[in-house]
Amino acid sequence: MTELPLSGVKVVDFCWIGAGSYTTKLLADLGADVIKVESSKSLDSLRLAAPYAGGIKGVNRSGYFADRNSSKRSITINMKDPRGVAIVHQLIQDCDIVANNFRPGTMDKLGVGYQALREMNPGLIFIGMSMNGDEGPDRTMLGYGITIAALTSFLGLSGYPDREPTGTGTNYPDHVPNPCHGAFAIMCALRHKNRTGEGQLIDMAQTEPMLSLMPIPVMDYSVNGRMAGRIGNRLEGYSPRGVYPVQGEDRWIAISVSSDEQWLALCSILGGPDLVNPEWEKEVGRHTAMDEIDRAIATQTADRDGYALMQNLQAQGVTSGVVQNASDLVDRDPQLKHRNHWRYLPHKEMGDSLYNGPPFQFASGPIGPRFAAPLLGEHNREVLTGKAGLDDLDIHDLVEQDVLV
Amino acid sequence: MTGQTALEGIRVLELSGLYGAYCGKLFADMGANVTLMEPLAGSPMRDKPPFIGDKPGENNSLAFAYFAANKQSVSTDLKTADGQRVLLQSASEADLLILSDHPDADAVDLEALCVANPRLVCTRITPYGSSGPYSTFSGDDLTLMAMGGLLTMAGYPDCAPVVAYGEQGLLAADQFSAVASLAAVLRAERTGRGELIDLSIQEAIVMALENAAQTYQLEGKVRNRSASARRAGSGIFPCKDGQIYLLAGGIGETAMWGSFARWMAAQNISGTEIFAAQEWNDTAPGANEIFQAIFLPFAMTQTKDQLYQGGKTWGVPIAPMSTPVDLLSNRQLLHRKYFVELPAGSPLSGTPVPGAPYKLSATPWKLRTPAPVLGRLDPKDATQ
Repeated sequence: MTELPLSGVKVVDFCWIGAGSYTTKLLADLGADVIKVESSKSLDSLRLAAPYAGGIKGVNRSGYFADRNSSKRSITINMKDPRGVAIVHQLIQDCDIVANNFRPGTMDKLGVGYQALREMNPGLIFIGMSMNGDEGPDRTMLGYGITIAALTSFLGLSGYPDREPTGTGTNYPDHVPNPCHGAFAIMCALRHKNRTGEGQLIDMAQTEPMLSLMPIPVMDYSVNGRMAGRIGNRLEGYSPRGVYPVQGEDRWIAISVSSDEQWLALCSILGGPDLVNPEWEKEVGRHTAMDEIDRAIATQTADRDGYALMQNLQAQGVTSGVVQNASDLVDRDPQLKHRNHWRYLPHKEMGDSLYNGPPFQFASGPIGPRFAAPLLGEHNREVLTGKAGLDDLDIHDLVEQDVLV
Repeated sequence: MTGQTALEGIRVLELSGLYGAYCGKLFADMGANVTLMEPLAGSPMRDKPPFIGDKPGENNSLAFAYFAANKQSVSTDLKTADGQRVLLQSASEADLLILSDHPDADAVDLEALCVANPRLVCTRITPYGSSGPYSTFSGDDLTLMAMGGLLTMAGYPDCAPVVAYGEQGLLAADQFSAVASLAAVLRAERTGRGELIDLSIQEAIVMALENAAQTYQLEGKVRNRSASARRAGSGIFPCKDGQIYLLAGGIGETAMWGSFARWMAAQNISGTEIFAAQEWNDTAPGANEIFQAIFLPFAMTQTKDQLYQGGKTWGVPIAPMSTPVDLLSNRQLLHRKYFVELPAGSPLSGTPVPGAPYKLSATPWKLRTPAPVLGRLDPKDATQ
């Protein structure tokens, strides 16, 4: 059994809602000790976001919150009380990383800004992940995944050319670009600290990782004067590439053809006269007849079973995949089962509830969520008697006095 | 400024194709020494459109110019004994090897390389993972977005689901690969023990499902695509010079109606009292029509930027639906010097590209060298 990659790394986590909490979850699942600083006075609003266990609302019952906060411990601190701030300072003296995704200035107002904390702990790594970053004229803007998608042009470029943009139907930047870039940046700073003892400030504007993932519109405009537009499911180099109906209500299959051999294999499996056209045997001929080809394919796929068709196509080297929904993925997908993607972790209030395992497996041993999300303030006693030097009586009194709440 | 980089001294071998390159780029831009091991014909990414002047050519692909900057190149035929010697020698001196859809990926024996160099971290990126019932399936961004469950939530109910721009599913895999790889490299530096990491692109996409899996498990509801369903005050709206996205309806409990109502009232727009009223319900039938009747005439007198600035002043989440031209002139991005120019020494030098995705005060992100000429580096120097 090899030790976890980030075991021994200590994080004091002020993140809430989406991207921030997902960032520190990645670190926690990889072995870091993440202490989430919360308060019942100002709840992480994801604790009150659906779905809830048993459909019953409650601060310890959100499945959305749970998945974003696995492997973390929770303490409740009233940061409006100087005694609460003093307790947090004690924790920070001994930690490697402080993380937050508030708007710039908020951490300073709470008494836990970077300048104050680095005096106490010169090796501290401090990351802020606001929408627009620490500096600049629009730094105070309030942002969510979907508005970040709009501002970066990701939303406007996603969809069919002749209809309003549709994006991913989610707050995409919150779930992959920002958590992954945030965790990567933190680990870069950890390596520098390992080598030099020096901490540093990380300023991550949540618009910027998303933009780093879409270089072509800006480059193509600058180099070729071309303005990017929506292209639906099509992509240069593939013909056809689309999503076609299959048997069942609202069931679909995605098919991508990137060579003439794949095209011929597709035709032989689908059959029917509509696809037979000598001009379409070469990519250049298909390229100019995409609408017609899409219609002809859809006619042939509509009455077939999607999974059987996918198996047939894949066996002949044609890239294809059924459009799967949450029920398909959680209950049936044999590949996700094989990889043990879904984990059911025991939670004190929710029972055995569903978590994502990571998309990577380590040959040396298990990796992923270590324990379920914490109840609000579940670890006050455990953390504060250990790290902040309080005894049970202190904790009792501080709860009574509205400090540890 | 010390001139130090965070990842200096880390030696990375990248055997990529049309994906895997962003994983290597994240390392290269923070100072790691990344060598792209290409087939003799060059990386498939060199053939990826668009090109400068729409002319294909080894150094003309915009994607290659961006994703391979800061890297070096060796070219070798992994199907020959000589190529295998180069690979073994390079891997024995490397800290991290990234293997994705390199044309000769089948000729790479990661297990043997891990034995030869016990502190090596090897990360293999494949569509569905390296074992299991779908492990032999091919996949591209569209089919993996389908199988990973994100596609089903995107689009209009009255037509086929539609995939997100820019092959984000493949890039999601690259990002999770980089996180896992760096964590394992940090441990290898501490303990001398390497790792073999097996990443599934399908699963990287499953990570992006928001609350869809839990919504199904806890409440039995299957999330679907719903682009035309609209709660009042949330969505894309036209304005004087384009469109904006407004989120006055908020998410969960954090509705922004109070702030939005104060903003509208301050504009002296008639009828806005209704937004501040106790009984206002943004999901009620007819609410959207009432909202539009009041908001749209105002929005049409305002530019995207005026509305964005209004949102900033009044604490309302709103953003311009930017075009690429808007991005290049965005005052916040200009202030942060976000876009940078590709360095001298390539046909695309001077082209603006996305810059630092994060600003590290002691060890900043930096673009140092342009994408390499094919096979410029002598194979024996692959990890020097």
